[in-house]
Amino acid sequence: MNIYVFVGCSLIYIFILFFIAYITDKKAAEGTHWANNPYVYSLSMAVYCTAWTFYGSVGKAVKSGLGFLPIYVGVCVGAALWFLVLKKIIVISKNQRITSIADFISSRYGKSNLLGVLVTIVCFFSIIPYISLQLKAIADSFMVLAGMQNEMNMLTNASGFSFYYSTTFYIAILLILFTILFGARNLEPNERHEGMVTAIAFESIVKLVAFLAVGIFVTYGLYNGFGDLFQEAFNNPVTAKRLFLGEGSSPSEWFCLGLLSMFAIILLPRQFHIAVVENSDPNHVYKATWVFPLYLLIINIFVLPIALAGVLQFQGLDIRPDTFVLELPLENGKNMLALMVFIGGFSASTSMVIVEVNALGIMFSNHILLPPLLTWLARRDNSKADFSAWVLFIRRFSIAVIILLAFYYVRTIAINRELVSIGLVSFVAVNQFAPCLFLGLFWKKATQSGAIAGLLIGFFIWAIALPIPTLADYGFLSKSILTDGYFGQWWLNPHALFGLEGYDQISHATIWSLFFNCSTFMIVSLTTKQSTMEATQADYFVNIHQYINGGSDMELIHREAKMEDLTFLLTRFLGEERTQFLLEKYETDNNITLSKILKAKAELVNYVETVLAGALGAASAKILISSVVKEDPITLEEMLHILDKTKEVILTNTELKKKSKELEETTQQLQAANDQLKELDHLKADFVTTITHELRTPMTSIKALSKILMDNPDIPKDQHNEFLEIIVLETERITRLINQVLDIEKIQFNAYEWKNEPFNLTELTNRIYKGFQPVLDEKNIQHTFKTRLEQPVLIKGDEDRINQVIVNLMSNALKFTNTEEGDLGISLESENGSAVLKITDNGNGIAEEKQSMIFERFTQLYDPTQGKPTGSGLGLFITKQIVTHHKGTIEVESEVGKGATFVVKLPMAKG
Amino acid sequence: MSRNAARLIGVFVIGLVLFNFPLLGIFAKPHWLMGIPMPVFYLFTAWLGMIIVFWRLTDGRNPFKKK
Repeated sequence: MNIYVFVGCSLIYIFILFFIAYITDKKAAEGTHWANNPYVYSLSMAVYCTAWTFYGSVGKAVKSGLGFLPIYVGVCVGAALWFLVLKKIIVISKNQRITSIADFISSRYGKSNLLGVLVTIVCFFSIIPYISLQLKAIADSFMVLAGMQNEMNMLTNASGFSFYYSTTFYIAILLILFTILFGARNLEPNERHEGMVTAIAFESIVKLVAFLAVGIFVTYGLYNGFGDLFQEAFNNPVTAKRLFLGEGSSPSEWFCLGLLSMFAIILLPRQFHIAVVENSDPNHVYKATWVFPLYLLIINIFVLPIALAGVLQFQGLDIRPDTFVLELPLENGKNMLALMVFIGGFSASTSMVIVEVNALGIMFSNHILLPPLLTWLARRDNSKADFSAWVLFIRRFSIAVIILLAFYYVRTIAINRELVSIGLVSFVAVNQFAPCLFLGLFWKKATQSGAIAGLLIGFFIWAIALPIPTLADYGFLSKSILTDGYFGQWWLNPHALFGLEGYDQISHATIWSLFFNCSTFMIVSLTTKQSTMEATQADYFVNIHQYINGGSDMELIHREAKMEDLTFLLTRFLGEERTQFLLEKYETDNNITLSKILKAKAELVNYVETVLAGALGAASAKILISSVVKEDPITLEEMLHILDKTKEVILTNTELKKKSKELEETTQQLQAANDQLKELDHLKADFVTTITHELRTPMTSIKALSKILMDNPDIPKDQHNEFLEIIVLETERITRLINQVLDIEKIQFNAYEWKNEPFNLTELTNRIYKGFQPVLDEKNIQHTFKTRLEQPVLIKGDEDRINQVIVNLMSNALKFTNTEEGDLGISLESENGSAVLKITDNGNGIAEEKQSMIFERFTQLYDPTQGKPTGSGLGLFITKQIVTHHKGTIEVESEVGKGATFVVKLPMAKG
Repeated sequence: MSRNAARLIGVFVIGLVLFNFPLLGIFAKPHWLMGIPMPVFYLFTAWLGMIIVFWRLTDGRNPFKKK
C-alpha cells in the first residue's frame, strides 16, 4: 500500500479529532456537556495507554512473557482505593482550584512556589523523553509501513529517513495546533477542556478497537483460538519459556512495577490532568473504579498471543518485537487491518502527547514563566487585559516549546532505546511525588521542608540511577562508571547503589529513590515546623470533608490566622488604643484569654474582620484578613484574582474617602443652613423691630401734631395748615410702608400671583418717564430718555411689577439727585439678549462699601445733606426681588460725589 | 466508615497479595487450565474477579452512604 495513503489517513484522523473537539465545545457552550459523563471520564483516563502499551507491551511480552502485566494489574489493585484517595484529591482540587500536580503539591505545603517549580522541573526532565517516545512511535510506524524497518534505528540522512521524520514533524505541528486550540484557546478559570477530553475518550475507543482487531486476527485468523496458539507456542522452545512466569518476571520487578503504576495513574501529569483537573464530578470516580480496569484488561488480553505469534511467525528474521502489531497484518497481506492498527497506534501516541503537553504547558507557564513575569508586569503596568494576553501567549509558547523539544530529543538522542524503558524511567521520576502527595493527604504534620528535602533526594537518586548512566552510551560520560561506580566508588555504582545487586535497573532505582525520599520526607517533617499558611493548608487538605460538610462554616473554619498577625492588622488600621479596647472586649465577651492563644480560630477572625469592615468597608477587610491567611500567590488565577482585589481595595478606599468627604460637605451644608436659619431668625426680629420703629415714628408725629391742634384751637391758620399737611404726609408714609411690607411677604412666600405675559418694555418705560416729566420740570431737573433701539423691547413677565421697579428707581433717582442742578437720565439698550435699563442721577453717589448693602431690607442711607432718611428701606429690596424673579439682575454703579447709575438687566422675550 | 469502603480497603490488601509473589509463584508452574497456561488463566480471572467486586461495591446511586 502506498505510504501516502497512511500519511493521508493520519491527517484525516487528526482532523476528525479537531472536529470532535470542536463539536463538543460547541455543544458545551449550548449547555450539553458530553464530557460530563462517567464513561467519558473513564475512557479519557485510558490516555494511560500510550504507544508504549500499543506497541511496547508486545515487545515486553516477547522478552518476559507476562512481565508486561504488572503496570496494568497494579493500576487495578490501586483502583480499590480511588474512592478514598483520588476522590479526596479531586474534592480538594475543585475547592482550591488546582490546575496541575505541581499546583497541588505546592498548595498542600503552604503554597510554596519552590515546590511548584521543583515538581515542574522533575516532570519536565522525565516527561519530555516520554513525549518524544510517542513521536518516535509515529515515525517508526511510518517506516514499518514503508518497509524500512532496517533503517529505522539508524541516524542517517537518507531521503527516506528525512521524509518520515519530516512527516512526524508536521504531525507534531498539528498536535501543537490541536493542543493550543482545545487546551489553551482561552484562559479557563478551572482548566477544564471538554472538547479535548471527549476527543481523548474517542481516541481511547479507537486504539482499543484497533488492538482488539489485530488480536482477533492473530488468534483466530492465523491460529484456531487461544488454545491452538498457546499449544503452538508451547511446542517451540523459544516461546515456551514465555508462557509461564519465569524468566524476566522476578518478584521484585512485579512488586515495583505494580507499585509504580499504582501511583503513576495519578501522578503522571497527564493522568492528574485527566483524572483530577478535567474531572466534572467527583462521583465519576466510582464508575471509573471498575470501568477503567476493565478497559485495561480488555486491551491486554491479546498482548501475549500477538507476542507469541510474532515470535513464531518471524523466527529467524530481524524484526523488532515492538513492531509485531503492525508487521503481523502486513506480512499476511492484510493492508486494511494494518492501516487500522496504524491509526490505533497513532491515536495512542497523539492522545498522550496532547494531554501531556497541555498539562506540562500549564505547569511550565504557571510555575516557571509566569510568576516572575507577572511580578514584573504588575510593577510596570496595571491593566488586566494585557495580563491575560501575556498569560495566554506564555501558555501557548510553552506548549509549542515542549513539543518541539520532544521532537528535537527524538531526532538526536532517543533513536536507539526501547519504548518501555523510557516510559518506566519517567514512571520512577513521577513516583517521587508519591510520599509528599499521598502522605500529605492524611498526615497533617508533613511539612514543606520535608516535602522539598524528600523530593530533592528522590530526584537525585533517580537521576544518578537511571538517566545519567545512559549518557555513558552516548560518550558523554566514561563507561567505567557502569562497572566501577561514580568517582570509582563501588557503592556508587549506578545500578547497584550501596552494593544492592541482583535487581533490574527500574526496581533498583525505585527501591532506593523511594526509600530515601520517604524517609527523608518523614524525618525532616518530624523535625521542622509548619508556618501558619502551611498549617492552614495542611488542615484543609487532610480534613477536606469537614470543610465541605460544614457548608457555610467552611469559609469560617478556613480562616485561621496567627494572633500576632491579627493584632498587627488591627493596630495598623485602628490604632493601638482602640485595638486594645476591642480585644479586651472580645476577651470579656467570650471569656477567654487571648494572650495564651497563638492561632486565632474562625470566630475571632470573623470578629476582627467585622471590626475592620466597620472601619474600612467589607471588601477591604476581607482582603486584609485574607492577606493574613494566604501567602504569596502561585497560580495564575489566584494572581489575577489578587490583582483584581487590590484594584478593588483601591477603589473602595477611594470611595470611602469620597464618602467621608461627602459627609463632611453635608455637615458643612447643614451648618450653613443652620446659620442661615439663625440669621433669618435674627433678621426677622430686626425686621419686626425696624417695622415697629418705622411705624412708630410717623405715628408719633401724627399723634403729637393732632394733640397740638386739638389742645390749641386758636392756633394761627398758617401753622394749622402746615401741621395738617405733615399729618397727611406721615399717613401716606405709613400706608406706603404697610403696602411694601405686604409686598415683601407676598414675594417671599410665593403668595403673589405673578403674571407671565409678554409686554413692551420700551413703551412702559416711556409711559413712566412721561408720567414723571411734570414733577421733574417742576423741580427744574434736567432729564433725558435715550434709546438706540428701533424695535420695541419685549419682556415676558408681570408688567405691573416691572412698572413698580422702574417707578421705584425713578423715585429714588428723583429723591437723591442734585438739588441745585439736578440731572436724571434713562437709557434702554439691548445686550446679549437682555434688555439693559439704566437710570442715572447726579446725586452724592453711594460709597463702595455700602453698594452691596442697599438691596438689603431696611438699609437706609443716611444723607448728611438731607438729615433724616425718607425711605422705608424696603424699596430697593422689593425691586431686587422682582428683578430676580424675572431672572434678571440689578446692580449699582457709583462713586461718591459722582452720582449713581442703577443697571437693570432683564432677559428679552424670544421671537 | 461505611461497609463498602471497608470492603474496598480489604480488596486492596487482598489485591496486593493476589498479584504479587509469593502467591504468584504458586501459579508459576507448567500447568494448563482449559487449554490456557495456568499463570495466564489465573492472572486474567483474578483481575476480572476484582473488577466484578469493584463493580458490585461501587455501583448504585450512593455506594458509600453510612449505614
